[in-house]
Amino acid sequence: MDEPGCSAPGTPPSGREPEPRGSPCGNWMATHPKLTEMMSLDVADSTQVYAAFLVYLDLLEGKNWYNVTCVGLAELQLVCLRGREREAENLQVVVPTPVHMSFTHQRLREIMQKACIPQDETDSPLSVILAIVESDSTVVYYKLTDGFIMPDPPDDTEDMDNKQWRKKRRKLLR
Amino acid sequence: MIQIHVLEGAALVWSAEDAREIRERFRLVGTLVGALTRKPRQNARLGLPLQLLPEEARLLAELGAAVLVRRTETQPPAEGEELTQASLVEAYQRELEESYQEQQRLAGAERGALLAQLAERIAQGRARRREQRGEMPDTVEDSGLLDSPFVLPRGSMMVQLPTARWRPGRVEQVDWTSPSADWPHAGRPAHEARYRVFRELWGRGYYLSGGSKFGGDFLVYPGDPLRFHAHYIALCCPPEAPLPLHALVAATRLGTSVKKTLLLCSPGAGGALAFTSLQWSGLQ
Repeated sequence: MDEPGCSAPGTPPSGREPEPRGSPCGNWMATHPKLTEMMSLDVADSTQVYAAFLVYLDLLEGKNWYNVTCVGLAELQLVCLRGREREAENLQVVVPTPVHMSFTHQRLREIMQKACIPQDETDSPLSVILAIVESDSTVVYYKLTDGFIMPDPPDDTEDMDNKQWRKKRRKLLR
Repeated sequence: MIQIHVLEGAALVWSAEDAREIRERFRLVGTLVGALTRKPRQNARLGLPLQLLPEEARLLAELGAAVLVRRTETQPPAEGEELTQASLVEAYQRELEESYQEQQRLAGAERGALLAQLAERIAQGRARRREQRGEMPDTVEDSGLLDSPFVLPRGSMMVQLPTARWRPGRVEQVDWTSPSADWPHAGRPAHEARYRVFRELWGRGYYLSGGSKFGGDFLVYPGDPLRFHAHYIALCCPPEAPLPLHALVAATRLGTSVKKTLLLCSPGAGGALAFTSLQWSGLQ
């Protein structure tokens, strides 16, 4: 379509130049108070701010998180979000990023050290959630943790294919 | 001293005792890459030689437990004996014939014993058949079976194919610290980086194997790979190398779907190694 990034249908074609992909435009987004707040932090470029805004909306509306706030990290040039997945849980840090931004391992560790909330009671390892935003507004969330985190053990009954499991049981009980 | 034969960068161990020691004493696994002589046309189970990762071979050499060797071209005859091709072939044929005669003798003896055991039943069966046919009993053909000379068909003979070289070839030692045609890894920055990570993870007590099946550098096991699934896919990245996000997503997603954590490893501040675990966040 003519104006990438616009979600409102029936937008009248205006005389202004098309906005670069990944930037907010159109009616309701540009005047959203949260977006203007993020922009006013003035720490990151517009694509990262737009990504942060999309993640903010997704966390609140799509994932039903609680107490989501935005934080500007000047030295990293990023807008981060903090929120709780459930009401009683600890705050987690979410780092939104557009997909074309490239990171080095060193930068990822820097982000972990600077963006993470120090959990002073426990010495749990530094951890952030990286929220990667595609140009079509798809967001994928991946967790980065310092150190070695073992994968979840397989849950036996869930993983077994029901049909195979029934066959095995029949053979066993015969 | 374990001998590791190097050939164009590949490290091979031909001795079964050495392969066992490498696994049991040094916690290094390697991969069996040879064909099994009795089951050649499959690759579900392979045999010697054991191929080691360059990092595994280097670790053994550094620990002083192994030497890297290379076959030399010339093959001098041992003890002044002039062994021509023809005499070797003759000796082999002679051994084959002796083995055949012995097998024939043993097979004949076993067959005789078996027939003696079943003699009564054979006689009964014969008598019944003759009654059915209406012939006279007590014909001469009774004991015919036991008299015919037994010949073991050549095709049924068991043949031994030696899998160990009956005469060890001449080898010369290879210096693993300097690059050469057969050991090109020394000094290469990619190899040095991988080796640092390998040494560190091995030092922490893990078992390691090649990670190419899962798009990584190493697979990290909490115990012997025969008993455990891998926990981590280790990816060695230089600290300044850019990691495109879509590659990171692909690698992490693969790790999640095979129940392994992706482990980014690179040299960190102050000489230590930095490890970062990547997992799917679980947010639906």
